[in-house]
This record gives sequence, C-alpha cells and structure tokens, in this order.
Amino acid sequence: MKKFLGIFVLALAAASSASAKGSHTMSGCGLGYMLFNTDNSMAMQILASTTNGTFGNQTFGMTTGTLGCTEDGAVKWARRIEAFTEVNYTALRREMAAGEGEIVGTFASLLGANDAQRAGVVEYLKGEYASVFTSETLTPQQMLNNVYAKLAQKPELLS
Amino acid sequence: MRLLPLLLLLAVPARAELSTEAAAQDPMWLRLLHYAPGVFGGMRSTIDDATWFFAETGRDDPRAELAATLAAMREGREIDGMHAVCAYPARAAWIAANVEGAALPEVACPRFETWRERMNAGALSVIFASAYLDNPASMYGHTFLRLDNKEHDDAKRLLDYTVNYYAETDTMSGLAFAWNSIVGGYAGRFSTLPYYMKVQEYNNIETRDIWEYRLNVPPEGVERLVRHLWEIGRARPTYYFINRNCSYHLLPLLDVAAPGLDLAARFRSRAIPVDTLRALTEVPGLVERVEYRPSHEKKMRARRSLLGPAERALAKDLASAPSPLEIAGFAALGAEDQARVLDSAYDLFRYRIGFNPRQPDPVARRDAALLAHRAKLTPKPQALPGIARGENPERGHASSRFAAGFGADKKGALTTFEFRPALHDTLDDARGFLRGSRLEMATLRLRWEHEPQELVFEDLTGVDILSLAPWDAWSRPKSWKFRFGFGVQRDLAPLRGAAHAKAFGATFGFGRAYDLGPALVYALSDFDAALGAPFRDWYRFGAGAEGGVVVDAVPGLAVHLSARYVRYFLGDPRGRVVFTGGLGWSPLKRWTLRAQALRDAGHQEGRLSLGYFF
Repeated sequence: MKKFLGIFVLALAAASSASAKGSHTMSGCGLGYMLFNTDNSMAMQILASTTNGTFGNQTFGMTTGTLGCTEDGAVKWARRIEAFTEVNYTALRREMAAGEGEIVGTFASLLGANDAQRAGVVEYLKGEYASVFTSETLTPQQMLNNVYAKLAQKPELLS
Repeated sequence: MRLLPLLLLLAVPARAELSTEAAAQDPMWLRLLHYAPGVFGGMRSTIDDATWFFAETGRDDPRAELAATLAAMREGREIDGMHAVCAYPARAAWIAANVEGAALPEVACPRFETWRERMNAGALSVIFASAYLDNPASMYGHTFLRLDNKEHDDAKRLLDYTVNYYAETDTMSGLAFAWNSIVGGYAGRFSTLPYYMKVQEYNNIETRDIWEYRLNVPPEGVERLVRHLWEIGRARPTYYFINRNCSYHLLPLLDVAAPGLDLAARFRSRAIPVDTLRALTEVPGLVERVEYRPSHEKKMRARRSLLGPAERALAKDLASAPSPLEIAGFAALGAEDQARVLDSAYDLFRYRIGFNPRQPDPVARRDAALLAHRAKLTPKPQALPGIARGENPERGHASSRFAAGFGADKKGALTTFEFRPALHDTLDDARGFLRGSRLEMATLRLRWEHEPQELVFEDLTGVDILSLAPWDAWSRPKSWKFRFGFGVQRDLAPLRGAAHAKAFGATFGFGRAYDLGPALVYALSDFDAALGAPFRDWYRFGAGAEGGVVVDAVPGLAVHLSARYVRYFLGDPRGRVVFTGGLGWSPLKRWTLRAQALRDAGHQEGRLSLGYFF
C-alpha cells in the first residue's frame, strides 16, 4: 500500500511537471548539451578520430545503472521522446519548418504515428509551427509540451 | 517485469557434452573471453582488466577461468548488484548448453532483460565515420557497431542503438592526450548510444560522412552477441591508439557473432579502421549492402547547386541577415524560389553557427526568423541531387607501402628503400581518400649509395600531413601542412656530408588551395625549425612560403610539383630554395610506379621507384 501511494505521488509529480509550461529550463535529460561541450579543435581531431571522445559515452555505459534519462546504457522508455528531441533539437526545428525530413519523420513515429500517419502529422506540425515555437528561446521540453497540446486538438491524426 | 529464466533464451539446441577440460579449450569459450595466443605460448586475453575475470589467473588461463566462472555462478556470487549468471549471460548460456553437468541455477535477470528489450537487435551493421572535413590527419576514421532493431524499418533507423568502444579521458588537452592514447594511459569502455546521437555528432557537429555496412549474420549469432555485450560492458580494457582502439575491439565482438570470421587475429599488431572494413568486405556474402550519409557540408553544397548565381548570392546574404524580408529581392520571389533559397541560406547559417542549440540572443532571433518564414512557405525542400559518394573507403589502396627504386644524385647512383606503415600521399591513387591530401606516419627512408658503397639513413618521419582543401566561398576551408621527423637536412648535405647533416625538424604552414578542375593549385606559408649538429648554433628557424600544383585528372595518375622558399634567420642564417616534382602511376591496385626529382639548395637528385601496397 505504501509503495502504491509512493508511485501514485511520483506519477502526480511527473504529470504536473509535464504540463507546466516553461518552468524548468534546467530539467530534461541534459543530453543535448553534452554533445556540444567538447573540444573540436584541429589538435583534438587527430586522435579523437579513433578514441571516440566522450560524447555521452559515460552516460550510456552498459551496467552503469540509472542516470537521469538512461538506465544501464539505454534511454528510459518513458523519456525516449524527450531524449530524442533534446539531441536533435536544432535539426528537428529545421525539418518541422520545412515539412519534411528523416528527423521530423522519426519524431512523428515516436509520437505514435504509424507509416501511413507520419506524413499527416509532419504536415500538421508545419502548419502549426508558429503556435509550437512561441518564443525564440524555447527549450526542447517547452516545445514538446506545445506539440502534445496541438496533437491533442487533432486526435484523428494518430487514431 | 517478466520473469524469464535466462536459460530459456537459448536458441542453440543443448549439447551439454563437453567435459570442463574440453570446454576450456573450445573455440567459443576462447572467443567469449577474447583469448589470443600468448607471445610465449599459451593463451592471454586481450582484455587486460583483472576485474573482468573470476579467476586470479583468468587472463592467462582458460581452464582456471572456466572453473572459477562455474563456481561463481553456482554459488550465486553478486557482481554489480546482479547474480553472476545475469552479469555474464553469454558465458552462462554457453556453459549451460555445452558443459557436462553444469547445473547452473535458473535466475531471473530483470536488468539484462530490460536492456536487451531496448536493444531489440535483429541484425548488425558496422558504421564508419570518415575523416573530419579537410583534416587528413583523421583519415583513419572511426568504426562502431549498430544493433539494427527488429521492429525498425529504414525510416526509424535513427532510433537503433550503437555499440562504441571509447577511451575514458578526464581532460582532452592536445599533447597529453596524444601521449596517453599511444602509451595506454587511458582505460577503454563500451557504451551503447542511440544512433541519432552518433549521426548528430558525426554528420553535423564534426561534418564527417558516415558509411553503413549492413552485415549478414544469423539471428542466433546476433543474440549471442547481445548477451556478450552485456558482459563486456563491465570491462575496462586499456585503450591503445595503434592496436587496441575502437576498430580493434569490434573484431572480437564480430567473432562471437559469426564464429567463422576469425577477424581479431588479423589485427593484433595494428588496427586501422579502414583495414578492418576491408576485411569485412572481403568475406563473401558478409556485407549485405552499404549505405551512405553525407555530412552537413556535402548536403549544403549539393543543395546550393540547385541555385542560380543570383539566388546563391541571395542565400549568402540571407544567412547573415537579421530577417529574410530585409533582403531586397527576396520578397519579390515566388514561394517555390523563396523556399529553395531559404533552405540553402539556412544550411549556410547552420554551418557557420554550428549545431549548438544554445546561442546568443541575436543569433537565436535570426534563427527563429528564418525558420518562421520557412514554415509559412508551402513548398517542400527540393530533392537533393545525388551527392557524389566517391569510392567506398575500403576500396582505396591498402594502408602500408613498401617501395624500392633507383636514382642518382651529384655523388653518383643509388638504390632507394622506403617503408611507410600508413597511409597515403598526393602521388598515390586518391580514390577512397581525401583529394589532395597526405597522411604519413613512421615512414622510414634509406638509400644504398653506389660510390662509395654505403647504406645511408635518410629519414624517419614522425608525422607528415598535407591538406589541400579546394576553396569554397561558403565553407572557407583552410589548407595546411605539418610535419616532424628526424633525417638528413638535404640543403646542407652537400656542404657537411649527409652523415653530418641529420637533425630533428618540424614544418608547419597554412594557406589556400583552388580547384581548377583537373588540378589543385595551392599556396601555403612555411615555418620551418630544426634542432641538431649541422647548424651553427645547434638549431635554426625560418619562414617562407610554398606553392604548387597537384594534377589528378586521370584516376590512378597524379603529378605533384612544388616550389618552396625558406629564409632561416635564427641560428645558421641562410636561404633555401626547394623544387620538387613527382609523378605517380598506379596501374594496378597494389602496385605503383613513381618518378621523382628534387632540387634542394645545392642538392639534386632523381629517382624511379616501384611501390607495393599491403
């Protein structure tokens, strides 16, 4: 019973943070920024080519246990959309505006679209671009919340 | 949480007939523990992490390791919070199926099961990330594995997981990093990142091309590999740049998946990623298909080729404008033209800014303005014209070269010998390599002089790199060169005698190259320093310039001419003019003929040589 209550409280907390718009600029998986905090200078390129750098490697080590959005070297199932959005944010915005692309297509699949529904979802998101990207400094989490809200208005897209 | 006994995962019909003695010598047991024949006989695992073994002598003793593994699994020893059977699922599965009287306990392994479901591996691909843009020093490239998800078609490839071996480095600062990478100062580990992270990293952030080699491996092999990955995830084998790098460590994994391959044995002393790719493609039927993902820079240039000159200028302006509508001439275009120009402008904008989502406010505003306008335009992006893939990386010439030849200088005739472990220069067939590039490491040059008969050491090059990147107004690449080594300073040889003209030297320079179609023409600055006995003050330092041309219109035939001037003004001042001319012809994959001429201050020579790639 205690365990159940605990899970219930956690679920409530998760749900409320998911619906809060733009209140947690530091939340999320922290995966997007990990990609960019490295030295890409010429000197590093010479050996980095086979040492593989540290882009997220520590976080995705197998058997490392639970670290934020990952567990034992895999993205937690519940955070998979968030993780994908963070890492691909720059390219995703671009393809959403263009209405086509591998990344926005994969994004649509993650949101639940099957092969037949993918194109429809991508087109819809392009049409709603201005209401999804409401600010220049929108974070991936905020963008996701807006996307969920927009999709909720057109349930037939994913039915 | 499903409670699925690990042993039910076996797809292999149980044999359970090997005695422990026989099992310890079984090839699959040896593969699972990455054993290789030891230098003085016996077996030694290439995993040098003692904590990965159950027996104290496990690394050198397959029998002791098998016995200790059995014991640990039977008693249910805890490893990393897991039952030993769950920490080493591949070993457990193999023992249960093959070792007589194994009697391993049946255990639920929730952590392994959850991870295995995420991987959901149905097939394997080896992925190759090519050289960094315009950096021949990275021409070795990088390889990793992709676990192709059973449920994903090509449209969801990005969601597959990859297996990477990497060096754990705390800091990555130039020289320390280089030194530690070579001498084994870093431990290595395995990680499983989603493919989309690797594609972002290589295609966009590092502007590298990606090649995907889809392998034909039976499902049973893939499952065995997945179990093995979980157990190897605990290991921290020391990273060595030359022979225990990312490419090497994939090979024992592939050997576990497809036992007939026996790849690891061929790369124990040296593992150059391209060589390992070549080994894969040479196995009949192993590589099913090869896919190509061009870098952002290549896509940018391909998209730009769809624009006329006026549109190109517009796109360039747009990339630095605060807002698209401020650019005269843009608003007047129709929707389709606007879309095309804007797509190219955004490519350039992104190329210049980088892919970091955190940007200063003015940049974020421009970004938002460009995309907001694009979203209002209905036309989709125009299909990119086919991007010239070039030759597959493994189809280039082999990595090492030995050459012998005849020549003459002012003193008389000579026979020349050259051994180059890696990799490529401007006179070699450029197919499969960066155009106009040179990357040489540890090259040894000797000559046998005929009058008087004497074997003379010419040169040992540490590193010699040349990058001639054709100038492009959008990507604005720099051309550069860097070399260091120990050898005869040719301009002083006639004065001091070759034996007394040896010194440590380093050269570096940067500049530009231009593509004239059949040829690349270039001009570089030249800073040259040397340390050693031949110089008046034991050193010299000078500055100057080099210009030259590489003609490579005909595949397999290359000409490289250069002229260089250096004024040494510190320590032994003098001027130095160097002219070189070379012609390389590769009529066959493994053979190359060269004619070279050199005039270095008072020294002159010519030579003709035959080289063999292996």
